[in-house]
Amino acid sequence: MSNPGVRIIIDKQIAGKSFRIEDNIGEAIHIHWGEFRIDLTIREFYKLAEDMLLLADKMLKSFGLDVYALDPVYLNEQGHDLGMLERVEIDDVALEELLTEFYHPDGCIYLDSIRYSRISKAFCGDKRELMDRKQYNLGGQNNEERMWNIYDSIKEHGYPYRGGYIILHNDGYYIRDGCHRASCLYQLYGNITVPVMRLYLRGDSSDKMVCKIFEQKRKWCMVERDIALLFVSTIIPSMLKGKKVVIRGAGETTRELLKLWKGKVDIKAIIAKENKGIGADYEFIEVEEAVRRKYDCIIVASKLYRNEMVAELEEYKGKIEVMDLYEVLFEHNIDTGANFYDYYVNVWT
Amino acid sequence: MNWIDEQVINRFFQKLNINNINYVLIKNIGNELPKQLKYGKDIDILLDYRHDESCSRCMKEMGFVDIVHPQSEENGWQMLYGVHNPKMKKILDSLEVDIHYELAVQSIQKCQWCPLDKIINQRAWNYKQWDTVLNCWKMDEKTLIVYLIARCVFDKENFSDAYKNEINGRENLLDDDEVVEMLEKVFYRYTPYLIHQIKMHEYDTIIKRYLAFDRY
Repeated sequence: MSNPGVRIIIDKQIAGKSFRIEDNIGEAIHIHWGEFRIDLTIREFYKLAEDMLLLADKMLKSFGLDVYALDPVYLNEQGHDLGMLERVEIDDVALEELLTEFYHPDGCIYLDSIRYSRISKAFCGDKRELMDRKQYNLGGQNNEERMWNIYDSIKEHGYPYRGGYIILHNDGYYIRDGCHRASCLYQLYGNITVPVMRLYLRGDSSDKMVCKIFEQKRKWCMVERDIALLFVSTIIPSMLKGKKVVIRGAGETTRELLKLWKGKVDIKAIIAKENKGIGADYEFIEVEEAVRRKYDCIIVASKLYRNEMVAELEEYKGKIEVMDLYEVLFEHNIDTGANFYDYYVNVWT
Repeated sequence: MNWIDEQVINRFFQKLNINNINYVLIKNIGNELPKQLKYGKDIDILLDYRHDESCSRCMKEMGFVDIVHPQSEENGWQMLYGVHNPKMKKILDSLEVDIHYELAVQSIQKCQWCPLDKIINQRAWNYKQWDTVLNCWKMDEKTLIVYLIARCVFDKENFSDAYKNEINGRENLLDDDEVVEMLEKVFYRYTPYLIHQIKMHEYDTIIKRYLAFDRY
């Protein structure tokens, strides 16, 4: 039987086997592990969860860890690590040192300071990354509501509230739990030093590796991104001076260019299959029309699709100049690794 | 108001009928067909997968071209439990036909098509009816009300006035054993609450209460 009302509560690998808990609305809770399936009523499932929490609390109390003070989302996602717990320490850390992860559309995961977290960006008005992020929220909140609830809670109750520390593993700075709290604290008070809880886990070297690579790449990438922005906003407009320009692409790169080049570059139109939020300020035309109107240059403005776009424009060679934005950056030894306007440090790929 | 030419719609069904294509018009909300189908709106048909090739051929002869279905594998959608990838065809910048091979709804996990239970799908074929006004095969009333309710909950996440009118017009079927059995294959133990809410016209709370339902 197929139930369209299936909510996936957990979907992960445990001991090399797929572990999945599904809420089949109206039907049953299914716990799948490898070839096994257990069907429970909701009441039985809650009882099982309560008993497991009680057991975990008894086991971890001797290490000084109160399981009930931990965020259920953290327990859900990383609770299995607690079996390796050796000791717990409270440390003081400056907020900007704390790292959080980014999921880039190219499939890579990046780490960077919470100064640039999706939540910090949302506080500055750019909510795209926050709202696009798939995350577990409690009580039917959406991502933005969760952000503001935590912000209000910190304003009202301070930090840490009821033992709810930001959690780091070992000597690392990658936030395992508390990205929202860290970003809200940063928004409220700037780069202050806050107490964090370090869970020392046996055999967990992931943080050391992450931080080592991160430290090497971080400084390089900060400079690189600033140079890229400077280059795109000043040097390229000077290269395009006096030219009638059309932009190929209607994605984020184009939107950033339209902002950066306003009043600097004579943008006549956009070449794209659909208008993805560019608005009505620019005309959408075909390549042939750009050639017919004798425009001077087509800017290829996409990191992901640039190869396809350049190939597509090959047949117009000699009729209109084609400038591949990222190729120009690359030719000037600026390899952003991601979109030029993003600030990502690729540490895992 | 810009309506799609009635002749195009009539010719489309005529062509399928002449060629013995096994299809069912899934729905005709607000009796838009054949005279009041706005530009940009499509016709949803259920097509026997074995007739896919012959149907494609007929539609091609009429001038239909394939366009990418917005909720297809090509757009990253997942087909659960063997549901076939839906197709969309368009003619002359006017009529769009949305072709499904099973009655299916979008799973609440998003971007997934989940088929309605086998008994519902079998019924859609076994009890298809001839529409004497449109001259086409349409779905029987019992299957239709189940599909409309499921579509509002899962696909639309809303009961629009047009759908409410369609469901209210078939409200008497909610006491029918076959309808209840079909609803139970979709909504399981929530079914009696759902039927009660529809009878009381409490449409605004159906989805919220369904998602929060925990008596199972």
